[in-house]
Amino acid sequence: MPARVHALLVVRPDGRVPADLHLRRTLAALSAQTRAVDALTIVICGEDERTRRIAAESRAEAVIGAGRTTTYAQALRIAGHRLRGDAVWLLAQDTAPEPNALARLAGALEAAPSMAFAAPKLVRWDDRSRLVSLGISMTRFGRSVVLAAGELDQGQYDGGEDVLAADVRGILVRTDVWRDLDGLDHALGGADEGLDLGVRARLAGHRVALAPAAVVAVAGDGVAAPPAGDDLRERLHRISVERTAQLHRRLAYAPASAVLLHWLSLLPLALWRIVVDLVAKRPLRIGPDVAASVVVLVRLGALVRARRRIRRAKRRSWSLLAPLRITRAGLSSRLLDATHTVGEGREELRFFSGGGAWTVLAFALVSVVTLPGLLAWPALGGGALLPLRPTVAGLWADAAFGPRPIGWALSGPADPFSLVVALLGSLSPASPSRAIVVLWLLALPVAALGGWFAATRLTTRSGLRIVVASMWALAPTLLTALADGRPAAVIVHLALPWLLFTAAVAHRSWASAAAGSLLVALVLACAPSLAPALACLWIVALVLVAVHGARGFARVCWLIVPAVVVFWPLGLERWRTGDLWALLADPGAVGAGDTATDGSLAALALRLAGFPTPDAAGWQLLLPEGMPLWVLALVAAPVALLAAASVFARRALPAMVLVLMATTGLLTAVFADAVVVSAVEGVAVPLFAAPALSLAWAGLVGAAVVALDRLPMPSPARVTASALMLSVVVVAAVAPLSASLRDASGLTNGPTSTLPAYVAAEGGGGRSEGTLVLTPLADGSMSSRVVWGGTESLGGASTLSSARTGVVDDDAVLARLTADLVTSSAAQSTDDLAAHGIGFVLVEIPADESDAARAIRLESINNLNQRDGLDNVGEAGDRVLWRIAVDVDERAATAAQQRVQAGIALWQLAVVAVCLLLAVPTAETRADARRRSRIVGAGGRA
Amino acid sequence: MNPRLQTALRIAGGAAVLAVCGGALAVVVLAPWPGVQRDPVQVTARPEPDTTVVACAGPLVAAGQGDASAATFVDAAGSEVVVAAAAPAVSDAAAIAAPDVIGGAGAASFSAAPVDRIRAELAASGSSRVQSAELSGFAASACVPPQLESWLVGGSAATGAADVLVLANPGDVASSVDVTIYGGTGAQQPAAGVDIVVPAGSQRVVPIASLGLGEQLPVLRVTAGEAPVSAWLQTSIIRTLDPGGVDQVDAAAVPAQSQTIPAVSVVRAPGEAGATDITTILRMLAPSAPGAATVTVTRVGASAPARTDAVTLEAGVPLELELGGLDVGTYTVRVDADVPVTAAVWETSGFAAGDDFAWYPAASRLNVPSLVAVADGPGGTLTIAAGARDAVVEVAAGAGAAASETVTVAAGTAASIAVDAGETYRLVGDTDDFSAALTYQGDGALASVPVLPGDAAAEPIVVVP
Repeated sequence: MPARVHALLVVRPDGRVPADLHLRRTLAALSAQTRAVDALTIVICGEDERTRRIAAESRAEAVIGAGRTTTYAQALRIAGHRLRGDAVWLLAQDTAPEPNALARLAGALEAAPSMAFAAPKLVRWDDRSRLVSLGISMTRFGRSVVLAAGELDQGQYDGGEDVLAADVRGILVRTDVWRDLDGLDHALGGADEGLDLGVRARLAGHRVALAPAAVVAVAGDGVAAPPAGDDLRERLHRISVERTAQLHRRLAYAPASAVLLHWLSLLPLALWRIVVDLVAKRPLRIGPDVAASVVVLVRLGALVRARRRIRRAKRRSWSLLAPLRITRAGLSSRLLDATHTVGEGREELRFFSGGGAWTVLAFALVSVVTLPGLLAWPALGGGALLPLRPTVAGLWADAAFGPRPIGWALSGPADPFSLVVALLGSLSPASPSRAIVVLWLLALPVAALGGWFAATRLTTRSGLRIVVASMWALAPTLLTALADGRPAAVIVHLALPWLLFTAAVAHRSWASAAAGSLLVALVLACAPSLAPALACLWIVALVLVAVHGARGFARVCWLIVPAVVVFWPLGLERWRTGDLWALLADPGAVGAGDTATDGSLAALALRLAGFPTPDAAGWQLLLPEGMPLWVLALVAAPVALLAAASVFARRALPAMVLVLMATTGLLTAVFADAVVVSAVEGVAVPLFAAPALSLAWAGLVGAAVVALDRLPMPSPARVTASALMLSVVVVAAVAPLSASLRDASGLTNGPTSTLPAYVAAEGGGGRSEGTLVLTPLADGSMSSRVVWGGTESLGGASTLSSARTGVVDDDAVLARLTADLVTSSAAQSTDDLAAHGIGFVLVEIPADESDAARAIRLESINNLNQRDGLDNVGEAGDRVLWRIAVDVDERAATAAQQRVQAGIALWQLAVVAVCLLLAVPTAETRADARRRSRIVGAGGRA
Repeated sequence: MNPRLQTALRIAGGAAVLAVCGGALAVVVLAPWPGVQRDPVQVTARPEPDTTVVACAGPLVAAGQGDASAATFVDAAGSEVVVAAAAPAVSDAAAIAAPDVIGGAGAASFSAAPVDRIRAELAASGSSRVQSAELSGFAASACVPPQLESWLVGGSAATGAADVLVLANPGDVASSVDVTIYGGTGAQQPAAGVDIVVPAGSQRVVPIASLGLGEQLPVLRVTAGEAPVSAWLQTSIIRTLDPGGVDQVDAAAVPAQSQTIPAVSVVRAPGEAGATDITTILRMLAPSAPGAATVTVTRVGASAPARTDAVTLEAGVPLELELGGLDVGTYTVRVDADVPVTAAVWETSGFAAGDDFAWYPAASRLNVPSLVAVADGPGGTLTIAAGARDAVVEVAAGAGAAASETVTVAAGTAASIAVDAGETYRLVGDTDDFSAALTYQGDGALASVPVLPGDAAAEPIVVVP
C-alpha cells in the first residue's frame, strides 16, 4: 500500500453550476473515506467567497487560488509543486467517492506495481445505478470511445480488467509516473485527458487497470472532463473540445513522417466533416467541428510540446496498444444497442389500398380529356405564359445575376422565380418550353397526389384523404390559373400541400425541416405576395414549439433560411432603391388581364370563395341570364362552415393553426387589389390573388377535414357532409375544366418565340443582341422595351422591370431614342442603338387598335421606313421588323458583374446543397420517422 | 381537470380563435385600407428636332416663247427675298435649281439647325413685280417648309389663264409627287399628275392646263412621296390681249371644319365705274364628304358681319361664291362647315389693263410662336383674326428681338397693324385659336401671304419604357 495519497481537488465556481453544493458533498465524501487521504490540496479557479470558505473549513493542507480561465490540467500543474506522497488522486468539485473508494483504488495500485494508475467506476451524481464511464478506449483512427457509458450498473463489468485508459476523474496515479509523464496535456482543452494520460503511460511501459469496486459519483460540471449538460451551449462546448482533442491527439500520436500529411488534411477533412454532419442531420456540429480544425491547425507550439512529451516518456512501441483499441465489431454492437428504442409507431400509409393511387390516376384521366391535344404542342402560350429559352445554358443565364434579358441597360439580381423556371426547364433539356406543357398536363394528378399526402398529416381515414385530394385538385384557384395561363400560381398550388406535409413536422427532424425550407423558398419565389402570410404562420410555429418546449426550435428556425438567401440579392437591390413593397410583385410575365375586383361586397365574396378573377373562372359566360355571379361564392360555404366547426374538436390545435392559415390567406387575397406595384404597357396591375387563395383553400380544406375526422358525429352525417362539400366544388369546376373543350380557354399553341423568327435566326440563340419592341398604346403613347436574345422568356422576365418604382436615367435614354426613332427627327438614333447592342426594331400592331394608336403607329412605320441605317426586313400581319444596317456591338457583362454573379450563385448553391444534404434520408432518420405518428398535433404542433 | 371544465375551455378557445380570425377579415373587408399604388412609369420625350428648312417659290415664270416648246419657261421677273431666322439659330441659304426654266436663276432655300433640341424658327418670303405683255402685276409668296401634302386653292385652266404649279424639293432625296385635281367632275388624277419626279435641290414647273384642260375652278392636292415638297400656284390672266394680273398662291390650310381667311382687301367699291363684275369670289372645297357651310364676311375692326351666306357643298367638287356688295376695306372671311373644307378668296382691283388680282388662302391656326417675314411691297399690313375666344397677340419686330406690340382681338373679330417691308415679325398668342395673314395693297398691286405656324414637327411623344 502506498504510504501516502495526496488528493488534488480543483474547484471552478463559475456560477453556472452550484459549485458549493457539489463541493460540500465531495468534501464530505472525502472525510468519510475508510482510508483517509493523507493530504488534500484544493485549487480554486476564480473568485468566490462561499467556495473559499468551504475550502478553508475542510482539512485541506493548502487552498490555492488561480485565475478563472485556468484549465484542469493547469490547475493540477500548479498544485503539483506541493505534491507529497506516493500517489496522487485527481479530483474535482463534482467527484464524490464512495467511502471505500480510495481503499480499493490504493489496493489495486498496491497489488500491481506495473500499474501507472487505477481508475474507479464513474456513476451518475444523482443515480448511482447508471454508469458514466468504465474505462476509455479508442478506435484504430484515434476516436475515443467511453466504455459502458449510460449503461445500467448490474455488476456486469465488475471483473476488473486492463483498459487502454480511463476517465481522468477520480483516478489514482503513482506520483513518480505522474512526474515522469509530465501530467495532463493542457492542449487537449479538457477532453480525452485521461485517454491521453493512459496512452502515454502504456507507451512508457506501465499498465492501466480498472478498480470497479471503487465507485465515484460525478456530476459533469465541466471542471474535469467536458460538461455533461444538455443545454445548447454546453453541448456545443463539448463537441468543440472533444473534436479539438481528437485532432490534437491525431497529430500528436502520428509517426513523424505522417504529421505533415495529417496537418495538410485538416482542412479538407473539415469540409468533408461538414457534409457528413449535414447528412447525419447534425448541422449544429458544423461550427464546433470547423472551429476545432482551425484551432488545431494553428496551434503548432502545443503540438510540438505534446510530441516531445510522448517521445521523452516512450519506452514501448505503439503496436502494444493495438489489442486494447476497440474493434469495429465492438463499435457496431454498441451503436445497435443505442438505436433500439421503441416509440408510439407509425401506421400504414395505405396509398394504394386506401384509394390514393386511384384518385391520382382518375385526375390524370381528367387532365388528358380536358386538355386535348396539348401533348403535341411544343410550347404553351397565352395569359402570363411565355416560352422558355431553348437551351439549358440560356435558362440558367437568365437566373444569374447580371444584365437582365429585358430592358435598356437593366442589370441586377434575377427574380428567384427565374431559378424555378430554370429548374423546371432543365427537366426537359432538349426542349425546355415543353416542360410547361407537361406541367399543365400533370397539374391535376400532381395536385391530387399532394393533397392526399398532406391529408395523411390530418387523418387516417382513407375516404377523407381522397376528399382532400379531390378538393385540392379541383380548387377554383388551380383551375383558374390553368385556364388563364398563370404558371407561378400553378406551381404554388402544386407545392403548397408538400410544404404543409413537410413543414408540419419540421420540428421533428432535420430532413423534414430541410425539405420544407426548400419548399418555402419555392413557394415564395413563385408568389412573393405570400411572404407576410407565411411569416405570420412561421412565427406562430416558433411560438408553439417554444411553448411546448420541443427540441425542434432550430429546425423550425431553419425553415426560412433558404428563402432568405434566395431573396437576399433582390431584397438588397430593393432596399437600395428604397422600395421594399416591390418585393411583393408577382414574378414572371405580368398578366394584362383584369384581375382586380370592383370592390363591391359581391365581388369580394366571390374572391374570398376562391375565385381569383372577377369572371369567376369562366362562369361569367356560362351562368344563365339574370343569375348573379356571387351565387358561386356558395361553393365555399360548406367547407367554410366545417372549418369553423373544427376549432371546437378535441385536440383542436392543428385546426386552429389551419384556420389561422386560411385567415392569413384570405387577408392577403383581399389586400392583393390594394397593392399595385407592377405595370405592363402603361397599365397598373395589382397582385394576383390566386396564390393567397390557394393558401386559404389549404387552411379551409384542412380544417374541414379535422372537423370531419374528430368531431363526434354518426358515420352517415360524416359521409353526407363530405359529399356535399366535394360535390359543390365539382360542380364549380365544370366551367374552367371545360374551357378548352368550349374554345374559351386563353391557352394557345406556342409561340416558341415572341419575336420574329428572323431575329432568333440572326441572333444565334444568344442573349447579346437586342430588339427594340415598340407597341402603340390606346392613349396614343408608345410602349418601348428592349428584349435581348431570340425571345422574351418566362425566366428572363424581371420584376426590376415590371415593378419599377420610378423613372431612371435608362428610361429617359430609351424614351429619347424612341421619340427620335418614330418621328422625323434628325438624330442619328440608329447609331446609338447599334452601339448599345440593339440589332432590330420591331413595331407591334395591337389587335384592337384605337384611333390614337393607329395614328402613331402609321407615323412611326412611315418614319422608320425613311430612316437611314434601318432595313425593313418584313411585315407579318401584326408586326413590322427592321434590321439595323450598321455593325452592332455586343452586350456583355462587366467583370465586376461576373464576380457578383459567381458570388451569389455560390451562396445560393451552397444553401440548396446544405438543404439537400440535410433532406437526404438516412437509416437513422427513417427509423426515427417510423417511431412517430404521421398525424400532426396528437400532442405536438401542427 | 374535470371533463366539463375541459369542454368549456375548449369551446371558449375555439370561439376566441374564430372571433379573432373573423374579426380580422371583417375589419379588412369593410374598412377602407390604404393600399400601395404605384403609377406606371412613363416618360414624355421630345424628339430631337430636324433642321428647319423652307423653300422659296423663286421668280415668276412665263411660258417659253419663240422656238421654246410649251413645256419650257423663262424667268419673267426677279424675286426679292427677305429672310429671317429666330435667334439663336442661324440660317444657311442654298440654291434650288430650276431645270424647267431656260436660263432660270432658280430659287433659294434656307435652313436652320436646331439648338439645344429646340427646333429653330425660320421664316422667309419673296415678292415680284412684273410689267410685260404676258404678265403684269405684283405677287408675293412665303417660303414654306416642304410638306407631304399641300392643298392649293385658286387658278384656272380655262383659256386666257397661264397657270403653273411650282414644286420645290429642298431636301437630299428625290421626291415623287402626285397631283389630284378637284374640278367639276370631282377628284381626278390626271396622267400628267402622276409620279412627277422632283429631284433633290430642284424645282419643277407644271402647267395646270396639262393637269385638267379647261377646268374653271380647280383645287389641287399635291401629295409627295419619298420626300416632302413645297408647292405654289403661279396664276395669271390675259383678258383679250391685256394681262389682268399675276399672283403666287401659297398653299391653303389643310381641310378642316372651320377655316379663316384673315384678310381680304376690297379696293373697288360696288357701283363705281367699271364695277360691272364682282371683284370678290370665295372658292371652297369639301374634298371627301358633302355638307353644308356658312360663310361669314366681317370687316376688320367690326364685330357685326357684313354678309352671311349658307351654301351646300358636293363632295370633291369646288364651289365658287360671289361676295358682292362689299365696301372698300379689309374683310375677314370665315367658313364653318359640318365637313372638312378648304377655301381661298379671289380679289381683283379691276378688269382693265394695269389691274392686279390676288388669292387669299385660308390660314392655319397659330398654336405656337410663329415668324412672318415681310417682303418688299406696297402697303404691307398684318391682320390677325381671332377664333371663338379673345386673343392677345404679342407682335415683335426683328424676329422677336425688338420690343413687342400687343394686339388684342376680340372673339370673332380681326385687327390689323401696319408692318414694314424687309422686317420680320414674331407672333406669340395667348391662345391657339387665331390666325394671321400679311396683305399687300397698292396701285395695281394686290397680294397676300398667310402666316404659317412656326413649328409643327417636334411634338413630344409619351413613351412607356
